[in-house]
Amino acid sequence: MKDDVGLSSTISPGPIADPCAVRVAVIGGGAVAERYHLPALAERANVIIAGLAELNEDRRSRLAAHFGIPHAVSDYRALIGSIDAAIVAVPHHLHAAVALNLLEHGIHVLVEKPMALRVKDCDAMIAAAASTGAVLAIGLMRRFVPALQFTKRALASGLLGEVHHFEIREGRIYDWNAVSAFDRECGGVLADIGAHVLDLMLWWFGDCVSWTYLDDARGGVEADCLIEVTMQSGATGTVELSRSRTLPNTCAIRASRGTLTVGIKGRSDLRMELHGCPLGLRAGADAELEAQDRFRLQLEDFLQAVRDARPPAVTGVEGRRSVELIECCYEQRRPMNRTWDRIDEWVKQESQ
Amino acid sequence: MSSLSAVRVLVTGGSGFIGGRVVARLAHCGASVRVLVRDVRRATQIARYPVELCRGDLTNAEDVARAAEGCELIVHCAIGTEGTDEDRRRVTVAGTEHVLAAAARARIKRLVHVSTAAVYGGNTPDAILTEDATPRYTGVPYADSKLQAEKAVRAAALAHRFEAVICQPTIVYGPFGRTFTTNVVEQLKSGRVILVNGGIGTCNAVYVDDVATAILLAATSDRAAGETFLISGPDTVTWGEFYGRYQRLLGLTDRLVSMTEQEARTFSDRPQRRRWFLVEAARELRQNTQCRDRLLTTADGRVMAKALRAVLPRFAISALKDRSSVPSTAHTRPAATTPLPLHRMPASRINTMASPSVVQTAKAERLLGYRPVYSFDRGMQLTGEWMRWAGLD
Repeated sequence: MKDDVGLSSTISPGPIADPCAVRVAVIGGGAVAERYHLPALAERANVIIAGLAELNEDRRSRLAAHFGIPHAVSDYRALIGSIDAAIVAVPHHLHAAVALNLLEHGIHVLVEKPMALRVKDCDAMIAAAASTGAVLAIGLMRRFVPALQFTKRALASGLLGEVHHFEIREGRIYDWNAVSAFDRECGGVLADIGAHVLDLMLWWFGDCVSWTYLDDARGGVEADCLIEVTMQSGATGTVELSRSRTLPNTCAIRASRGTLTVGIKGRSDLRMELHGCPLGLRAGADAELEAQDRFRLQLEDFLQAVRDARPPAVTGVEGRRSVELIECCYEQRRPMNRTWDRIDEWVKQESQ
Repeated sequence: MSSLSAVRVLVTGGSGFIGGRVVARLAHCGASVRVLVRDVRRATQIARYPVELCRGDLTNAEDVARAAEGCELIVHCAIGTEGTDEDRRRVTVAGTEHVLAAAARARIKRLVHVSTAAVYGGNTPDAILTEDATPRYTGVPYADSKLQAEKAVRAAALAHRFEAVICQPTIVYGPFGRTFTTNVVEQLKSGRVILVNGGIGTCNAVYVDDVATAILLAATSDRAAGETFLISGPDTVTWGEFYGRYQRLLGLTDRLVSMTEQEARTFSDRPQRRRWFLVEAARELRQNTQCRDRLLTTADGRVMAKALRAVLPRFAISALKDRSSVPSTAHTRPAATTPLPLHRMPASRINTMASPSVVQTAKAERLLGYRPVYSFDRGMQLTGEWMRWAGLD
């Protein structure tokens, strides 16, 4: 690749000239783009950050200057025609419309999680990618974490035996200063963290056949939710997600041959016990570095898929699975009834 | 409270403790709620309701004016919570002035100003406290800044002809509370807490939902205009019961230390100066046998102990051994635990804890129809359930 870069720059200076370089645009210059996608793109030799679409003028010019992006626009459609691929990091409820339009123009798309908010949008995206041959990859970067991949292998290979029950608990006091935070259309903790967590769940344990869903939204977006599921395999599980409190951030699996507990966010420590014989593996490096590494691996996979015209590690069909479950949960939501947060108590007081 | 339905209301401090509960209740009553939010990251709880989050800073007059546009009611709960006492005072006072200017400009009908019972000075010696008492400056930054804000509210209401209602809650506790909930929990978990006069002083505790109810009544009641209301709970408990209940919720027994008012003051005022490092280290090692044993298993630790034994005269060694009061078989016995640190207590809290005054809510009951429904037992039970849920116990 270094030769390519050198060669191209002698023939015709300018970033677009490298015939092998992929021209990538970032659509949506919010927190995730600034912290992860743009830095990951910038460090690659065979990539040109050809464009940036961002509505906020200050952010747009600042990011364009910092990353040396030639075309910084407010409407992403102005970039169509001058890019090969795009990373879509706009607010959740816009994922589908933007990605679909790009895919229909044959542009390869890596779309942030959740892939979309409705299954029908996922289907349209998958169909568009199939008809134009564009790569559609979903930004579920936890699938690139070694400990989580190990968990997948341990389950798929039958190492742990038959899974009886699992308990996933992920929560931290919310600190993501996203512009789109709390937009009702974007959903709450389920659409946000749930996109990652339910993807891991479906990836590890297979499809689920029944579920109940409780959350604490009262006309706005939920800060806490609880899902109880039964999987096709017969395994049962609970998923608890929170933006209001710190939870262990682990998945604990109980299976016929032993147990496995793995950190699913940040530190991916792994504790296993096989036929009563315990083993613990501690993850290294700090969480921030790990997060950057995940985005790096995800980007590498996406670019490789574009270059080799092969499916990415997380395809649209895979991304669709968690969207389907999220949509079903929202449709069947029931209110959480926490003693200290009961509306009937208020009604009593208000009718005084 | 159907009269709040479709009322356009601005809440400041809505991502805080009392404000958060007010936002929830207003939304539940069908009001059209706008919340001035400085840091959206703190808005997870109120975002559960259909409310408009309006990004802005209380210290920016323009932000506040923009947020108040089109509103007929303002509930002002915000106070300065960060930085030095002076920073907080500035936010509390200047913020209130911005709210008052915005209220005048938007021609709102009513402002409910959430103040505090602390404006009356804390250590009132009287058996009861009513709104007839005279608020006074006492040098306590928080209370003084709230009194200053109250005065500004009264003046502005007269000048700009909107109705101002001032609510003065007492000791507010409950889910997501800081001063009298999570801070108390953290203090009890990390050390010991002073109980002034054995905790016999009156704690005018009120559960947050009762305060929210009072604020809603203050927003709607015809007879409230221009009035000031003390807001407290239905039970009179002592500070001993208050802290004792938290201690019990945490499954602890030994965290409360009784002191007289004077002892508490002397202890809390004592200078922060520490002894010499080596003296402090030796003291720590003498008391903390676990730590000492561990250090003595290191190579240089052993060399140092050997060197000391060679250098020090015999009588000094035996004196040290006596003073350490730990037999040589210490490592086989359960290690003595270091006493937990005793938290200092700010003078204002010592005053409050020493006061016998029972706050009367007769005026709020008469004019607003306020009836607090959360007994101390019930309020604390719910708080305990929240603590468990939040992982604080």
